[in-house]
Amino acid sequence: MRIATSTLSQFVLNGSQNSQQQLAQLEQDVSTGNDVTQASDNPLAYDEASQTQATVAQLNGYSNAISSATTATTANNSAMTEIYKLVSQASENATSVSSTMSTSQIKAVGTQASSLLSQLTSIVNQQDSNGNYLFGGTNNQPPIDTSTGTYNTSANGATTSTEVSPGNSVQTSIAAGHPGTPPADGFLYDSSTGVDVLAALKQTVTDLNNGDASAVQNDLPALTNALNLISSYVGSTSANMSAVSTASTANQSQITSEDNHLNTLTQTNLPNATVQLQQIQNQYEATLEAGSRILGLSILNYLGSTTTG
Amino acid sequence: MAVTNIGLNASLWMGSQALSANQTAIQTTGNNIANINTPGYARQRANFATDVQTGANGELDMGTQVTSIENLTSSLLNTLVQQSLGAKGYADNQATMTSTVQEALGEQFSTSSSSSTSGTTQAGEGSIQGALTTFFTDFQNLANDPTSSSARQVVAQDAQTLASNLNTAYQRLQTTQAQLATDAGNITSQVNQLSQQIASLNQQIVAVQASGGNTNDLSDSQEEDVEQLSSLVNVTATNESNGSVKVTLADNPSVVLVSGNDSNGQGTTQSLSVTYSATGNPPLTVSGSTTGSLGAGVPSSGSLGSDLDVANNVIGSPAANGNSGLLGQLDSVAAALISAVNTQNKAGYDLNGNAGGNFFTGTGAGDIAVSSTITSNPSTIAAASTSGDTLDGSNALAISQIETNNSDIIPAFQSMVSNLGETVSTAAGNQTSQDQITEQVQNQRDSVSGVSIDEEMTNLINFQQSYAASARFLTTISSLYDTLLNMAPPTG
Repeated sequence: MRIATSTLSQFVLNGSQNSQQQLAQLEQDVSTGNDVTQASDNPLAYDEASQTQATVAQLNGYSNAISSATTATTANNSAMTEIYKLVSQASENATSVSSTMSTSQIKAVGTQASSLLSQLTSIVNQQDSNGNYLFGGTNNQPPIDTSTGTYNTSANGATTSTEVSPGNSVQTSIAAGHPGTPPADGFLYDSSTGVDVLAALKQTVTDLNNGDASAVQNDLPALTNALNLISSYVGSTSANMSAVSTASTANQSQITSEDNHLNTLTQTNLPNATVQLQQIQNQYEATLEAGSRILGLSILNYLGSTTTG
Repeated sequence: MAVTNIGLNASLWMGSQALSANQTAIQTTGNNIANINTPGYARQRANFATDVQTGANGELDMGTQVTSIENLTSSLLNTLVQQSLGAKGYADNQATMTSTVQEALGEQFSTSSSSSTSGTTQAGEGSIQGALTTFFTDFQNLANDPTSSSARQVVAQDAQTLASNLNTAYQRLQTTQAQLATDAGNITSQVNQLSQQIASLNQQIVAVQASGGNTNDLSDSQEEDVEQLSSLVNVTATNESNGSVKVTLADNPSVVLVSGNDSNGQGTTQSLSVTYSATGNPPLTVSGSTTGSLGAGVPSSGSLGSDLDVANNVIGSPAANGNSGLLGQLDSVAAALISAVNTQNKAGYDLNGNAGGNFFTGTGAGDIAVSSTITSNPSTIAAASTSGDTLDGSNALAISQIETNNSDIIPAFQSMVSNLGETVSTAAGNQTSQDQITEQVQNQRDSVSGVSIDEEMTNLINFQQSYAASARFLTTISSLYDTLLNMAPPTG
């Protein structure tokens, strides 16, 4: 093919433009660390990265949920353990009473039991940093009316759950419950068995304060039932803690995995990019070198020497 | 074979003709060299032919003469270049404009610098997807702490950010569409100007050819103008027998832009204009001064065709006015968000036990906003499923689950962005390949019409030497004359 002079310069220009475009892209990839920043960079990778990023955001949301679930289930378990100890102590106190004890001795035990009842009320009515009652149901009521020492029947028995992973919720609140109308089940009252922890404790305290040893002995089965009810809550809250912990581990592992996947999709492979940068740099230099040699060549360069020669 | 003696006078004539012919060739070579960088210039060649005179004694070879100055062009290659330039104009503009649209949408990844080794990829600032995921995560957080005033405040603020990002993207797309309309207007102005230039050249060419003159340079200018026109709008140029060119739209040959064949023998033109209406369907249309609206998608190529495509198909129309392209899709995403969140918010109860109301106002991406009730009092966000259950966050959780349950929001948006990325990437690929095709076709044409300095310099030396030889020939004939004259006896 016949070559026009402009064709040669066009080849050089196109070659250098091509190299410069590749160099600019590689330079950007290396300096920003990302080779996919917008969809057009790699539509397929961007689409996958975009979905992965949404997944990461959801997982981070679950991290927050897990964090608050951990706090809640730990507080629940701690409260149940404390209440179990209190009721257990009260039961031991009641068991210690015998017919050989004097009335004053029994009343002294009653004083201790009264203190335990007071501590139980304090734990059951505890509030979080926002002033919400931890065990007063979802309508946020104090479970025990401190002025009367009786159940606050306006508190409901509803509990809340936290979704700690897609489709997996863990119960993060427990209710105290009450035998009102309608009754509300909880760790202080269970309608199916009729176990009433507060009533059992109060009856025991009353009987102790009356110095009535035989009545106290009669209170023991109710206290045992109360212990069993609370024990079941110690177990369930512990299981909830464990479920949250498991979810936390799985969530963290998945975040790490998705993050790595996302970075693989979008971030520059520096070794590859560096090698490519060197290759394109060589290609650019070769284009310039060839151009500088060819573009300077013309018959004009030789006409003068022939004439003078 | 008998040799015819032509005599010294005829020899002098022959030498003179040779000098003249070589001088013309040198001038032609000089013209080629001078125009080596002139766009559209096709090299010229002085065509030599033996000057044969016929007389009573038969043919007499009277040396040489330049019979014509020929433009070395190929009409086939010229047509291919025109078509290729139309496609190149479309591809170039498409690559630039679709990229601009992508920028306008503003969906980018960035890398956080929180890690010492490598950062984490995250949604860039202003990202709609980032704002969407944040919005739903906020509801998830609210579900876990429904009485928290700060959690409610965060939901309200991030919802405003989301609405603002949608509004901004929508406005930027409409602004880009208006800019495309302005660009299309500028292109039609150039088209009209080029049409007038071609019509004017038509008149000149017809006039010069009628008087037997050389129209090579005028034809080069005409070809250059047609090529420029082709890159703006896909046209068909037809060479008429009188040297003029008729230019019609390739999509619709009945739309004649330039014709040199009117009854007065003059070139006439039809001007193009654009009409833009943000609420129109399609928003951008092209009309001819005599043919009226050219219809949807016409022209289909050249820069103008690309402007039409990007404005009408890539950016498209809002849901209320055609519901196409990015504007339609963005409206659909916003409408789905508004509907889903409002429905779920109204199904729940706020912190005061009241039934929830609309969370968002508006109908699409252009006017979506957070309800003033929510922004002024975030406690009205309906986080609970039961009235009075202030610690119940199940309705907030249900709102957060819209993120994964509703395919018309985030998945639809992701699909929209990916499809746009594919469009931009394809446009960039087309630009590269069309550049190569155009380069190849232009190189082929340059192999016929392009000027080569080496070739011209070689020719120049040939002609220079021929000129010198012819001059020597004249000197010799002159000396023969002197010899003859000296042989004659002195007078007086």
